[in-house]
Amino acid sequence: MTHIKPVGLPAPADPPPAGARTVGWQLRLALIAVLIACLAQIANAQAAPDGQDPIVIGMSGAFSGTSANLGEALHSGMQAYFNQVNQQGGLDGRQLVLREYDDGYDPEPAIANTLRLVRDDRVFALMGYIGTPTVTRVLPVLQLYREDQLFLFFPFTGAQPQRQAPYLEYVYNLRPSYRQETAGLVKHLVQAGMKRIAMFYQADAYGRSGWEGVRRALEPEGLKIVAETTYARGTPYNATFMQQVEILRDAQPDVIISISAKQAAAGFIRDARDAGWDVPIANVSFVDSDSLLELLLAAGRDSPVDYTRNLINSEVVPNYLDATHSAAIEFRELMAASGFAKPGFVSFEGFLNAKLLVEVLRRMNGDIRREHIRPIMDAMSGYDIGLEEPVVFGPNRNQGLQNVYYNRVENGRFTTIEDWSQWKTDVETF
Amino acid sequence: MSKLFKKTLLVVIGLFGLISVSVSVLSGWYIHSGMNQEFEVKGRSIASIISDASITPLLSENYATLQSMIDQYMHIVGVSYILVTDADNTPVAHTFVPAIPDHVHQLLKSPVALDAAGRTEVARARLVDSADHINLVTPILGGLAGHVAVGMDKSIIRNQITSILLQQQVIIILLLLFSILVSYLLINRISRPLALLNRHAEKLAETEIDRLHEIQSEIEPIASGSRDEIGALAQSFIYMEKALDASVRRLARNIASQERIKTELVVARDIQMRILPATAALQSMSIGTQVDALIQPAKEVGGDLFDCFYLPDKQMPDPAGDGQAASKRLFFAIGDVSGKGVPSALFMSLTCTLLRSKASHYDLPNELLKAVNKDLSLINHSCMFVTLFCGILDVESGAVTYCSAGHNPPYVMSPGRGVQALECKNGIALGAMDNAEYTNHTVTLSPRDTLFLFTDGVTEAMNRQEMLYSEQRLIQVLEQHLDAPPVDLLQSTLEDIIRFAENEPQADDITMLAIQRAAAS
Repeated sequence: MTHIKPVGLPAPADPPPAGARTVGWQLRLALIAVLIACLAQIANAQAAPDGQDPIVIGMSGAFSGTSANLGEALHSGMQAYFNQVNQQGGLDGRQLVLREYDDGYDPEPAIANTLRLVRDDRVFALMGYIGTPTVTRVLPVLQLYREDQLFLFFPFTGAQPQRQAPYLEYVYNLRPSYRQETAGLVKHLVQAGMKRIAMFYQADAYGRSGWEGVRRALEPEGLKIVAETTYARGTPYNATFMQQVEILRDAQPDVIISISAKQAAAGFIRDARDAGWDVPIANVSFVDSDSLLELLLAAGRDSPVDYTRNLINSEVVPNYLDATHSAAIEFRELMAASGFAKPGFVSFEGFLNAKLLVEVLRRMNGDIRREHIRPIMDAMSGYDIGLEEPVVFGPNRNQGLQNVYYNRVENGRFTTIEDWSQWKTDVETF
Repeated sequence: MSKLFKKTLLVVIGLFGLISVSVSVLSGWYIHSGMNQEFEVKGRSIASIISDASITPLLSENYATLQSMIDQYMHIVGVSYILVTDADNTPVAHTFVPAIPDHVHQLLKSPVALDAAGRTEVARARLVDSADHINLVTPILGGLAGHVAVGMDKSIIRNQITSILLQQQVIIILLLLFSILVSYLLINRISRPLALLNRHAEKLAETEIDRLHEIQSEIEPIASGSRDEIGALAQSFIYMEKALDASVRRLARNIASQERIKTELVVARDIQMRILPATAALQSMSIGTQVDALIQPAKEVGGDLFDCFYLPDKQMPDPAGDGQAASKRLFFAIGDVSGKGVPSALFMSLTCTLLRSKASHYDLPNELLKAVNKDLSLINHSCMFVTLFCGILDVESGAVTYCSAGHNPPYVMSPGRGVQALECKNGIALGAMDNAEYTNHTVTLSPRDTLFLFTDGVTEAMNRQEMLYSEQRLIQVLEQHLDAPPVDLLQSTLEDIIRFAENEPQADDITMLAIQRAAAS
């Protein structure tokens, strides 16, 4: 199955605008391959008799820096689905174009990219933004364009600000929140007897979101975070995290909840394990479990230590390898045929995001206008996206999914955690 | 390296050291206080803004938004940390990695700030200065909602001061090197001609005067080349050398002419002495009298004179024609011309010549003196004069007619009566007044009496103690030689004078004339 490079997507030969994403070489190669293979089809598309404008969707995310993995993965899931739609003739003859800019997981470029997408590229909607510090700073821009009904769809963050006033009405979330992820973690951990919970988190709004979620979840249990330590956003894997390890170890916690990005999470796990500390470490969805696992497996190859032991990962999408979900099957098939990078939790989320957006646009029945967005979303009371859980939106409900999934690593693969009591046992023997 | 340059180098380095230290201290202080103040103001503003903006997220427990907000301020230069606590003083958002330091925990111990009047401070920042930070703690809603602490990094101030001071030092060192170079060039320009002049001066001492112009050429470029003090010095050198040359030449000429004059004076003296009658001639005139004279000239030509000769007898023409054998009248004279030197010598010669030529024309001494005086006065434009004593002795009778023109009175020595000064009305010295009148006196010498005439060179001879020989001492000597022949008398007197003078240089001519009547036959 070949994929069309949609018209309007910046050609690789175009000089990238300032702040634009720096395309990874694999992706670049893939794009060039697609371009060469589909020249004729592109010509056909351009020469389409109705000649309607494409629907441009704007994205700003991390395509460079320590969290570039997120941008690449999320984009690949979305683009794969859009390509499929475009190949099948688009939406009433209109092509879907994803215009993506790189913000390097930094708030200032994220704001600049958003203004550029809205003013210069005149995008229909924003989608697939990545990260709490970036999204929380972009929210006021949405408020600024409220008259124009500018919406941000499905940002890749579980932070609270875009789930509550005053920004509730400008954002639609698909994924469950960090509060839900952390609340679920805390509930399971406490139930398993792990009451001394410590935190390792990113020193920014993302880390604060997770911290806030854990704190809030501990409160009804009469518990507090026993120790906490931070790291600076963008700290690479090869930096040392011994200071943080020591700060937390002094408090002798039962478990550590880590609200971090892939590289820092892997670095922290490595240093903790190297120091002989086997404490369970729980990460949330933002860490990009697949990339984290990749790093830890690579580290484990040169070391007698198994860095994948005692890891808990909360996810906002089910395991894409689990055949019980039709969406997972559809996603795996699509990715296998797309030529993009291999599937993962993040690209699965991107796929689901794109699928839901296309559903919203389809419900406009050819009259694609921003004014239709809110009524359609308000009326979406149970769309089956291919998961066990239906997608539900409504007035004052701007988050479509609620289920959080918990995995552990077994034989180098993620498997769903069935029994939490094993952790308690591990801790006791430790 | 010249000494001048060494000294200048030390002064320049010292000055620059002083400048460097004072500039560093001053600018360091200014930058420190200025930046401290700026950081405090900045921190205060940030704390105050965050305090206001934190109220809503704090009350709604929206800590991610709060964190996102404080993160924005971390880009401001100097902000080291921001910390927000809730009402329970629990940190709910902060920028510390990996954890909040203890000293910052301590800052938040006093949750509610009170102003001077004891009221709750709503949002005024409290400044806490620590080693590394300027900490500003601001209450949110008077501390009831929480607190904001902002830390401004002092190390930035220190780094800024260090960097500015380093830049200053580099500039000062560059200026120092430049100054050293400039002063080296300047001093070289000054010291090289100075050294040349110095060498020239040393050479000058070793160079013959008549070869000065040969070495002068080496400093001429300095004299003509530079218009400063060095050039002037070189010009002075050349001027001095030229003046020296001229002066030495003049001196040489003077010495030569003085030598000539000296020779001429010796000749003149010789001539002068020859004008006076020779001692041998006097001693041979012994017709009933013995005459002797003695003149001891002083160094320079002088003006003493004496004469003694027989006047021709008018009644009896001289058969032999030599004027001596037949005459009975012996003319004698002694005188002293005022002053010394060539003019006196000439005046003396003139006087002698006039006396000789006129003596035979007058019978009486006063007439002779009057005539000589008149002649002398006529030609005397130099206001010179001569004291003179003259007389005529009748060798047969012993009668002496004499006359004085301002001269010391002579003594009469008599074996029977001792030494007596001749009474005499002193006339005016010759040459002073053309119409002067003179008076004759007479005295008669007994046989063996001696008439002793002298000039003031005798009585005014001076010894080392500047005492005069004096007439008393002269009279004493004369009294001891009342009977001595004139030759011995004069010799003894001269010896006594020499004894008295004790080798003191003789200031005036010493002249003595002694005429002794023979014993009665």
